[in-house]
Amino acid sequence: MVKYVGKRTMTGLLCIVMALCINFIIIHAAPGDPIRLLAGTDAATPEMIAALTEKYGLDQPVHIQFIRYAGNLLRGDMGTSIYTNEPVAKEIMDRLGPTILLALSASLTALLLGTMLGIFCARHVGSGLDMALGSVSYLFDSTPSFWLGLMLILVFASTLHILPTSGMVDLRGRYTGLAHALDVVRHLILPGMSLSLTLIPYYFRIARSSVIQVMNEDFITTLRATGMPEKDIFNKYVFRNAILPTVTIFGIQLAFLITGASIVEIVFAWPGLGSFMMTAISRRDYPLLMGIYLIMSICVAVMMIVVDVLYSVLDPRISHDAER
Amino acid sequence: MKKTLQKAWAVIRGNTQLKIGLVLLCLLLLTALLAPLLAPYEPFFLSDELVAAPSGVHPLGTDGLGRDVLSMLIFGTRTSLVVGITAAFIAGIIGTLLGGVAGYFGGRTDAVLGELINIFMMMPTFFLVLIVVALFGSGLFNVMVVMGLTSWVGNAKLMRAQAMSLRQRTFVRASEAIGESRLSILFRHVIPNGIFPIIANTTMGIASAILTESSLAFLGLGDPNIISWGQVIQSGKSYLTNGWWICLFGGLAIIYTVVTFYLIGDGLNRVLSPKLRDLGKEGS
Repeated sequence: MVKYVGKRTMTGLLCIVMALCINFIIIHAAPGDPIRLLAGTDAATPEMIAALTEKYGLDQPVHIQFIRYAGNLLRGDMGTSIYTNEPVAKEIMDRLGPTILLALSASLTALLLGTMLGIFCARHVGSGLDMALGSVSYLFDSTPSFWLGLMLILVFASTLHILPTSGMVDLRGRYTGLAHALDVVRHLILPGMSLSLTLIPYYFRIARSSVIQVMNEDFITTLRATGMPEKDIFNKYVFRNAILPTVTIFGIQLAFLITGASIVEIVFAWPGLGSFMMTAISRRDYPLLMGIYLIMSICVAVMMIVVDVLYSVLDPRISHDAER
Repeated sequence: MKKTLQKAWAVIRGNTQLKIGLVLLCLLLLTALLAPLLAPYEPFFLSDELVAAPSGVHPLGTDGLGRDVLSMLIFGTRTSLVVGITAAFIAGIIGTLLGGVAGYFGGRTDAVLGELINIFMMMPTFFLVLIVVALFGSGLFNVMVVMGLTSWVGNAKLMRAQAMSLRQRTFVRASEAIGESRLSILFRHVIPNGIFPIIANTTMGIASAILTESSLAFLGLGDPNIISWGQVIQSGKSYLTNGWWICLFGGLAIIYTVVTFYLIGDGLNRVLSPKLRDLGKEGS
């Protein structure tokens, strides 16, 4: 077990280092000069450009820049944003909260609804409702979340006027305490819905197939033969076994949703990392871009490791030390 | 050959998803091929009616520049199919090769490649694609290659598992015993016999590539010289309230196409395990 955790952590670290390298190479190989952008288009004198280049260390050879960057990272310094002159770490931390709030609430909703529907269908396989939900799940699986977001805005915000179109708080409201929380929830509903509706099919299908699979196993047949009521069999034996794959998927989904939510964030002007990333790209703010990508990679890697370990704890049948 | 086709036909007929998916695919391919005949206007033709509601003249209305939405969607079919298929194909080839080599050669090769696969599993690829396309330009070629290069992991994992199990089979062992080279075994026996799950997965890959492409285009990172559905939705975003038809139909086109490939992929997955494997052997 300890060995396995160690191994996964190594993979995670390698992944982060690799993300860092890829990131660094891509950003430095990219055409477009941030200094010109920063200095303004026409008015910049050569002296000004030279001074700025030196200030941000862009006059050094690439490998020196990389070593310097990695060294600073280890000391917890992610550099300063070229555009706003704020520390990158602080800027990112400000944005991480909203992203996690959105991703977490959307995944939890999807997990609950998807699993419930999946279990229901597994217990009524072949019924009309099962078929109907199966087809609907295909449709939502194929729906781009950004488009769904626009449609939700069209219906609930522009036409019915019951929910806000964008942002996280009502700027004119200046609520505090409970009112503030309620205001955030109101803003959360539409982006959360567009994400969770596209995620539900995932949980639905996995819950459905794993319940069906467990119900067909020999030990369930044996239990049935003992005359145990179907309800007890399900609650005591089927459910616990069938829920395991869902747990794994939840973790992995959530990990990737931290990045995947970005496009919905942009549609709804949600002040999270995703919309921040687009701004960073258009400003060619290298330190900020690298910082965001690094944080994203770390989030995903950590989540994946936690999920793997959790899974082997939950399901003793999986023995990783015997793997390979 | 004839027998193989007959068998394939029987398999297709036996699976509802595959049947529906293939019919939908035929319609899509026809639309893409006959786009100039089907579209009522040139996709870039600017008419004087801006944001005109759907009518007899413009069946699906016009966008903010007066372009006919139906014509744009018809020509967009080409972009989606080309991007989706090429990107998934690149990912399929990379995945098959890496996974096949790792699984069949085993040992240290597998340790290195397997770790590489694990590392890529953990990478947030959408952001990588986003950064590359945003910084290096959003030509169609760039978009396809970058998506292909970042989405091979699932295929590699599947192929690796396949190769590991095929390695133990008698016919592979026999070829080794008579001295066939390992590379030749990999390409002549391991990959052809283990490729079927990758084919199904690649079909699913087309669907997700189309979704990714439309997301990029929606973010304004699509090729500006080519009509794409994501771009249509992006152009409709500002007219959401007074021109709902621009966004609505663009999204429906994406859903239709993605559903098509999901259906085919899912159908293949169900069918391929026992039946088509026999079929593949006869064909080779």
